[in-house]
Amino acid sequence: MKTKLHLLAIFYRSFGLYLWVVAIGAWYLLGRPTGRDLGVVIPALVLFKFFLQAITVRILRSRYAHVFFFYANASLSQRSLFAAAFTADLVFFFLSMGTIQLASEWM
Amino acid sequence: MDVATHHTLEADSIWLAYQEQKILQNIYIKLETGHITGLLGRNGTGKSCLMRMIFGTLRGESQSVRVNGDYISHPYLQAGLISYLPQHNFLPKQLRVKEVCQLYHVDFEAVCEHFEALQQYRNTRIGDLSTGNVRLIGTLLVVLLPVSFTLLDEPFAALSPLAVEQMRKVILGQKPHKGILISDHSYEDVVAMADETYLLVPVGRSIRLKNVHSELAEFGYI
Repeated sequence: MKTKLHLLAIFYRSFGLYLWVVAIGAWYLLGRPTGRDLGVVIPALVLFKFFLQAITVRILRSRYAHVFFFYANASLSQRSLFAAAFTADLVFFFLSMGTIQLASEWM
Repeated sequence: MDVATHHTLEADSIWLAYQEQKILQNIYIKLETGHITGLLGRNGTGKSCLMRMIFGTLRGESQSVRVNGDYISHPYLQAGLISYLPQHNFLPKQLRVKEVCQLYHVDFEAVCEHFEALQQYRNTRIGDLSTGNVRLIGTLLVVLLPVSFTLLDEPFAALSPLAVEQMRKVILGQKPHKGILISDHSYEDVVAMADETYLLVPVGRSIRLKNVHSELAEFGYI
């Protein structure tokens, strides 16, 4: 189990930062909304994240398909890899938005 | 899966087609622990596809893989059952050699027992290794993985003659407790190691060879 979690973390690390930076960049470009304004743009940002995730799946499957055999030899399917990575991605995104919201309230 | 007992893996009813073009049909292949099975065929006859279908990462029109008589839909998802060496590098470039060994539960020192020169690459990232060394480490990892069946797609590609000879010894050393399917264009190495040999012929049929060299010539492989 520990090994599988380690492998899932390695998979997420291979593109997770890029997904996080692009989403935070989108929030920045939208004028760094906070408070009620942030609540308004969150659904759009989440949809944008789904779009980024779809692109990530497409790129990895077409350009880096051979790397999935590394995980398959450890009994991990593409479905479980993407499900875990995208769940983690959404958790980090909402944590970031929550942190931004709390910071704006304290300032 | 207990590696000490005898296991069989049978693949049949394997049909694969791309855009109406038949790749594999009417396939039967049997692997047994303690046996090395050779898989030969000209380029494009579907050897790699067959291995991926047995492994479970490629789905065709139909496939049946049974282990000890029990149907298994995705063999690679069964821990300790099967490993697969693809033709191209599959190791993530950002990982270090030692880390990859740990993740695969393969002792790095055991790897170095077979190839002492690899000792210096313990902390080297996969992406910083030469193509030959990446292939060597990838092949060793898959061969040494603690599983019952191992599928090797061109294990001798990109290896020097001395490394090929040593790799043959490593594979033969794993034979007593594994069923190994091996495919390589260095057919003499495959035939020399194999207890039984299958030939894939157009269009996607498998033939178990009885008189290997004469039948390879008869079917136009050599």
